[in-house]
Amino acid sequence: MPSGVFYRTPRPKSNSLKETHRLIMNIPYVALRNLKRKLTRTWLLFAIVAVVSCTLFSATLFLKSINNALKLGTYRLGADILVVPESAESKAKAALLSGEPTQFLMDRAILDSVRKIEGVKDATPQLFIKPTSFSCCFNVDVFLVAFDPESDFTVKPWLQKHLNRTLRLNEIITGREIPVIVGDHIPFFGTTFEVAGTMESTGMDFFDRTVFMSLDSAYKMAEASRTKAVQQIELGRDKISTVLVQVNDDFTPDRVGIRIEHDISGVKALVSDTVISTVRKQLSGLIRAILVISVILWIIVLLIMSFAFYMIVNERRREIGLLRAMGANREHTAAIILTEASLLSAAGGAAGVTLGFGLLLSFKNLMLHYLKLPYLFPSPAELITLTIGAIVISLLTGLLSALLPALAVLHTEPYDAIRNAE
Amino acid sequence: MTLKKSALIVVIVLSVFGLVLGISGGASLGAAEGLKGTAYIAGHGGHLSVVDLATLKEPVDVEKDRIVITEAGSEMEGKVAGMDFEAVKKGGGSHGSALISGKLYVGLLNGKVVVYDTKTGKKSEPMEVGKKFCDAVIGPDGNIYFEDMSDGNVYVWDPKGLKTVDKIPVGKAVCGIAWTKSMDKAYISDMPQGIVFVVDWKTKKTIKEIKDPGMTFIHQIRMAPDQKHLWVTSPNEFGPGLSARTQKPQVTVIDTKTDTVVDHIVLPDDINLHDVKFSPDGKTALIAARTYGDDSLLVLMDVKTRKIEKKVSVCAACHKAAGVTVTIDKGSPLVCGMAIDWKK
Repeated sequence: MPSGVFYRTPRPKSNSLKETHRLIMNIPYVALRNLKRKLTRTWLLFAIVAVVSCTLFSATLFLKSINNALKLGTYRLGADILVVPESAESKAKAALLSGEPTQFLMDRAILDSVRKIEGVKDATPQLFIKPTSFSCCFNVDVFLVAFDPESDFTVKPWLQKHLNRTLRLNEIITGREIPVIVGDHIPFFGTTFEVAGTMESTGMDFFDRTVFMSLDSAYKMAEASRTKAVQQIELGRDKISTVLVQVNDDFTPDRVGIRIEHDISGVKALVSDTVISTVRKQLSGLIRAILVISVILWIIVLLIMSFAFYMIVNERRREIGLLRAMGANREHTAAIILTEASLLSAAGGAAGVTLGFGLLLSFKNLMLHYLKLPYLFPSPAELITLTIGAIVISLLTGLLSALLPALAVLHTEPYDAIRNAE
Repeated sequence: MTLKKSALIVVIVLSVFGLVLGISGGASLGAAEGLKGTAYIAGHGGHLSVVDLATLKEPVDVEKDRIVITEAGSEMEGKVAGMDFEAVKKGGGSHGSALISGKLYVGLLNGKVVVYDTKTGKKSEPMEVGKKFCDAVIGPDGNIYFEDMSDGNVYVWDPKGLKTVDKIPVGKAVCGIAWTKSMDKAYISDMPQGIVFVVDWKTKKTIKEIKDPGMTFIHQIRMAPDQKHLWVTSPNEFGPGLSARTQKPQVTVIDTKTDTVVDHIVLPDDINLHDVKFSPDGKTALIAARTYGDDSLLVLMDVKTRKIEKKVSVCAACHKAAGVTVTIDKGSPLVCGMAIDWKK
């Protein structure tokens, strides 16, 4: 970039006397110089924009990540309803939403009762086994889920796609968050299992921190634990933890859920859409609160920056008058103000986005631990869109805040500006 | 003609006229006489008005002539037919009830159900069932059918187990249900759409929709004493698409053999009927009606002659005695469903 307040354009090639150099005002240079001249004020305004854009960006990213996980998680689950013991309703919801390992049991006969309910298309049992840790470099708490390879519709599609065979006895599939690779061997309750595959990330701990095995493997593991394991596990073959249900097209899941609860005593039918939509409703409350706070913050920033630029224009009246006298036109002087505001707000926005990203990565696990919600980071394309959006909003904020002061400059006469400033 | 002769003719004519009036009046009052029972009329105030059908005296005692179920509430608040109306100001309001063995099963405007024992005066805690109930009707299977005005489902509820048995999707904002004698069909009214859905009771699928210009905003349905016709209460407070009123309040009569509208019983403007029940002898129709003034009414109508025999105030008399001013529903006390104990 050329330095200096003004610079001449190169002499035209024609050498015609009529064509002369043009004197161009170096607006970016002037704007930068002005910002550097009052560093404290510049840094303060920069910090205000950075803080607000950091808040907005990180909140939006956090909520988007939760939403992504909810969408993918329910799709992956494949079940419209989870039938669980009535007493285990809250445990089951916690397991589904936050992957919190849990264990509860009910009679296998409930599976047959569920299959008889009008509106049930498919039903498959699963067994939830209490968390256990295995030593492999470091301790990791995992959730063991056993499924029926014959009737399953949750894990089976993945198996068909990636493994192209059924799971053998003592083979397991693990979630993405479990630090193992295919071929690793992991002991559970005295039985060693081979990792046959690892699922892709879903954002839901119910999948990402879970080890899937066949029901047969689980029952045999329980039997063997009596002699082989330090920690025994009591699991009769007549016990299951839940029945996953898919409903017929002409029935709604909640209608079938009502029928299940009425016809089978002692169970609770958790409609997965309802569980997820309850989370979404709770989130919408959070979103609304964040939105309100964000709007308030944005208005505050707008007002502060408007005030700041108004003061800037006021204190530089003489300078503006001199610039006009030297040949700068009205638009030039207004452009200087707008350019200062743009540089400040764009830089502040970019810094805010970076800060927000860093903070989110640092505190993500803590927040998820307390909120007990699923979480899946957006795709790179979504991330880029969010980042650009945040910076553009910051830029527009700067321009808007400097608009009135810039308009005031447009109407300033050089003589009056110099004289009034004295 | 002499003066004497003229006077004599006048007297004779007047006497005959008076006699005719007396006979017809006597005949019409006769239909309503001999009613024995108690009517429980649910209102938005969250309480039921109690009327002794033998005396037809207006309820005036807030303790004896009233059953308090919950706080007040309005029906055109929150979600109706899936559409958002103004925010719910008060969370209660009763709307319809069913009486089984001395227990009133009351459906509320917030979709909850409260059980009130008329013998002991004990009231259960509200139970979550639906979203916004219109009527509560005892079904042929002994379950109670609650029609939901918010999501258009009919909730089938087991009064013994206190559990929901089923949830049948029908329309957008359903209000009443009735069955044919053979129980092959059910008729369910959709309030804002003004449609009566004919449902095959075996499959629970809608097989026909009955529409009529005289049904723009309808409420409860009742099988008439002849077991062949349905009476649909069509107060028509709104026109099509919830526009301004275009039709008078009326009973729309449907022939259940052809599933078509065969008659209209147009009523005066101050009888915006919401529920209708028939006396055991089939001679009297008891109608719960809104006036949209300072009162609601229990109206007695002769089924045969279709004449209004009596109007009983079910709100104003008690409110005035207690010094109560209605603050919801633009100051008008609004009733809807009615349960009648014919044994008492």
